[in-house]
Amino acid sequence: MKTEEAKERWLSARELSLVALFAALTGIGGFIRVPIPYVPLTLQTLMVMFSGLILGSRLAPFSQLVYILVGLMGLPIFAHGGGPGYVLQPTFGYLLGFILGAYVIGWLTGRREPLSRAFLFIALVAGVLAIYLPGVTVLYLNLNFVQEKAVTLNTAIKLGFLLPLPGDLLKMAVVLYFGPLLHQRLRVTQADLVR
Amino acid sequence: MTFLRDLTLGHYYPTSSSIHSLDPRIKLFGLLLSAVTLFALDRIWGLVLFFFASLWITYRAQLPLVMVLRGLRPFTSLFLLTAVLQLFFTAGKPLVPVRLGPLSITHEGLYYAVLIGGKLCLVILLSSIFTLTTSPLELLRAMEKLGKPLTRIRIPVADLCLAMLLCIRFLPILGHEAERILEAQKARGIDPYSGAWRNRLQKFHGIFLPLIYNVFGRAEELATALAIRGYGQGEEKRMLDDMRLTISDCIWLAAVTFWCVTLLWLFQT
Repeated sequence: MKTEEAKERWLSARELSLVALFAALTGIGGFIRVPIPYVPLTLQTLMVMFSGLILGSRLAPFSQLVYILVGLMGLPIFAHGGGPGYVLQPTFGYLLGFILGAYVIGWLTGRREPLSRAFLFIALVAGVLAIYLPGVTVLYLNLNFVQEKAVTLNTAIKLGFLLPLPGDLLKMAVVLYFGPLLHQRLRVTQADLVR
Repeated sequence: MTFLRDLTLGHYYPTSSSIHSLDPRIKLFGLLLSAVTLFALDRIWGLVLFFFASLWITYRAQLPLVMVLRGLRPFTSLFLLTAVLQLFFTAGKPLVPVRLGPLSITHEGLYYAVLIGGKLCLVILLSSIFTLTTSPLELLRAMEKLGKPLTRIRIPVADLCLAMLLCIRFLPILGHEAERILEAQKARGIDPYSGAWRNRLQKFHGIFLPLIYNVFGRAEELATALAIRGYGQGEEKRMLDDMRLTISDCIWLAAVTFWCVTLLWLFQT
């Protein structure tokens, strides 16, 4: 008699629901303004950092991928709406950077237990740099090949890195403030998922 | 929070047109092919023909023109950027004798502003028509079907699609949650949008910490619900009705391909 082994899924039910919910949370985060005058800051990058911190390196990039795909499908959850046309925006690379950033933050913070503020700071800096890497690359490619303007990499770095950096430093301060506590209380560990 | 209205269906605008009932895979292919064609074109006449074609599709799909055009609004900053970049930073014969410092508007600049702006505009219009005529759920099914080969190289397409489905479902719920938390804090006299800004940031954690904690409660419920319905048990789950290409799907596929190839042949130097 043929015995049907339960087919092993890549994600357990708990992991799957966490991934979906953090993707939704990143989407919602884009609509909540941080109350600081003059700088239009939303919770979005903050949610990326938190997802890395809480979900870890395996689930966090997956949740950001889900977020991007849902936005590309036409739900208005990006900074300026959504839909497949969004890949033409010069800022699309930052969204791709969310995947890499969440992975880097998840991977680094997963290596330290308990997590110190100093180490979290290093992890966040690395994560923010990981968001900018695809961001600046796509900005450069977009200006050169979609807009057909010869822009040097230097200009692209100035436009895409130095300009938005201060806002992200502020968000890092918020994560640094709450991070260790949340990491300690909420980190999704292997033991949790087996339960 | 007016965005909640749009979060359930995205831009989807249901009518009973033949465009709506086309296979989403065909529509996706058509969109991609048109986008590639548009970017390869380098004469404005090709773009004009494409514009009339998209008007015709809008008519066939029984979409209000205003609604299709509204899809361009979120991209205003992109168009502005294009206009400034092309108008002021293209070398060539000056259009007006007036110079603003080192900047001047040239004939070539105007031409490229119209050409590249038009390309972007048309691709966004077409993708707007695509999302207006295809519901997110239908698109998800198409994705799952198209992604089948990727499961061979251990990319969890089915898991990805299910996660996207759940994410779509939970967006409005989490949105309401965020709104409720904001109201609850206001009722307690905590308004993060007033007062000294140093204090505002402090008050702000009362909004996003509950939101994150909340997600965990929800995830727990959802996981139980999934487990009860047999997620991850037994054989792979399938859709109730399989997607099959109909004759009209094939006709559309041929028509779109023919259109794009002809335009490329006519308007590409």
